[in-house]
Amino acid sequence: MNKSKKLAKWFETEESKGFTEKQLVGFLLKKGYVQKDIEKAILYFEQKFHLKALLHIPWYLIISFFVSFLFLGYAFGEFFGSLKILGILVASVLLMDWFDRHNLDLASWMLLGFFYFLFFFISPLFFLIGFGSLISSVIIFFVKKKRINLYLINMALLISFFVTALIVLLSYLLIIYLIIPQFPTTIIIYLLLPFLPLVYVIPPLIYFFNHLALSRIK
Amino acid sequence: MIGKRGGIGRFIFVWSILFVVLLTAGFFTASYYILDYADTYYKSDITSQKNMVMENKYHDLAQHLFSKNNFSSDYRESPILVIGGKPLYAPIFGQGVGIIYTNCNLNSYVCERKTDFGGSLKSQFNLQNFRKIIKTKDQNKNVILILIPLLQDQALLNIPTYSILPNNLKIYREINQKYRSLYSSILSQKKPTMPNKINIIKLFLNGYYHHQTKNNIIASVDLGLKLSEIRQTQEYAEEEYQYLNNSNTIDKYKKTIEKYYPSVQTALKKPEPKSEMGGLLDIYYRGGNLFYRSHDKFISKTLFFKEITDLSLQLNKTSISSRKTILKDYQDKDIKESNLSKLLRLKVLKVKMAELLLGSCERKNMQECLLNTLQCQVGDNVNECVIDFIEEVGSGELCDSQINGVWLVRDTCYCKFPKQYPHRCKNE
Repeated sequence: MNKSKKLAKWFETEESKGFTEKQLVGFLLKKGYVQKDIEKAILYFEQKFHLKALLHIPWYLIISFFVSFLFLGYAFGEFFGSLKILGILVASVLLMDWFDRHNLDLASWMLLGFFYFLFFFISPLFFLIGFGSLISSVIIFFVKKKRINLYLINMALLISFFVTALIVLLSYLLIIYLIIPQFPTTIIIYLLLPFLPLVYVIPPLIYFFNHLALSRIK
Repeated sequence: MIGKRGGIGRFIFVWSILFVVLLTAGFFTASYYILDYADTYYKSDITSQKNMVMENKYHDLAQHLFSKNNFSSDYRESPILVIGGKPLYAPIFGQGVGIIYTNCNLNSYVCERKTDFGGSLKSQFNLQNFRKIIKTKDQNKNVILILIPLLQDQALLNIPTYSILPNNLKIYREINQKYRSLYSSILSQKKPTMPNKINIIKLFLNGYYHHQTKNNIIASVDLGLKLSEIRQTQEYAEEEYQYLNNSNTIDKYKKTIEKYYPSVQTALKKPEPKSEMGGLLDIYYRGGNLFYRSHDKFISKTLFFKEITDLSLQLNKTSISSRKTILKDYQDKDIKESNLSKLLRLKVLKVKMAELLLGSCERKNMQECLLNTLQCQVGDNVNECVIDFIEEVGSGELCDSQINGVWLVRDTCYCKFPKQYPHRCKNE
């Protein structure tokens, strides 16, 4: 295990005892550690997969995510496919936790990538939503100069994307079955107009749910 | 959180600006595509049909010239394109030729013969007045060029249809007249004037172009059916004329017609087989999951869907009416005309009846239906029954018929017409 990994492990243990990051950094500096090594260790610690951190995401959002996933699967005729992927997701999270405890970081990253690849087998729409959340999380990860847990932001965004997708689908159905029948037969441009507000609210909804998902995490 | 730096307030503000920018970009992109679509619509609407008519008439002219002057009908041609005021043609057409035929008379098909071909074609002729150059051989095997002049619509229409049938036959005059009135209706169509950009967008939003596109498709299909009907008539009459023999008599033809006429009447009363357009519409009736069901509900509200549905119905109607009128012009067996013309008329009627009968059975009970329609016995070999029927009708062209569920032994069929198809009969 290299120096950063050892220090990160030490940080994890000491933080669980109630020490703050500032106290731990001060202690290490007094012990003669170089500032650069301490920062590296903190960065490594922040980027690791933490099952406990995931469990800080509000339970109602997690349930909404499961419901969204299954309902979208049903709506696109892939209910059993979505059920299988949910099972794989839960298994992957537990496996990533095991990898984390055994410091198998590369395996953890590979599992995450493979998980998104599986989305493609449900339907292209699932793949788009999943891939959208992955790309967004990678962008945020680099915008925040890597001082953010990629797994955590990725899971939060995945939940936000799917809950938003459910809201959009339900609104779409509402428009189709209640508003569109009031229109005369006309060209497609006019019929698309009622969907404009729906398109507008998509990014704010994702942003809102993402904030909600991360609101209880330090 | 709202109003906080980096919070949702700032996000919504930035997203709103981006959304407006995207909407504006979408508006301009859509306008561009609408204008581009309209541009194509106004440019290509009638032009392709007019070009087709012109090509056919220039082809008739060339065939008349070959026939009257004993030129070889094995020829090559190059159109003369005028680009930037300069005439362009395939350079190979100006090489190795000593004789040029030009200033052809459109009644006698006699042309001026020029042999002093010293320079390039451009230097000797004002090529902007010509439509195309034809390279062929005269009766002495000399390579010659024929300069086909640019003709006005009326002059083109006045060129009679080229046919091996004698021009004084009533049936030939009818065929020629049918071509003429069809071509005349195409050439007299006026190109719609292109409105300004704002009006184009207004028309598009009112569904004008959807409607017009549908009408144009129906008109094109109708035109295609009419044209193919006239062409087939000409082909059947020419086939008969080319292989005239004493065994083909008016009485014999009348008997065959009377024999199958009741079956034809029954076939005409049958409902039209399901149109191919049904398959197109099936895309929109996928049914299945919740999303597609809702999607179908949306699509069914669009004008595009309505026009497609209308188009399908109209095409079905056109097809049915074309079936019903297919025999109309040749049904009058007692029309006053020469015996030869009558013989050809009866032959055309006979072949058209045969075509109708061969295409009248549904796929599911094809064999049984064909045996019944063609007045064969139950249990007979369908292939033999069809070939015997084709032989009785006396048209080798029917050997090419595609009959679902029946594997027609074409070689055997062609062997029934050894004069027409000496190389395609492989059995004997």
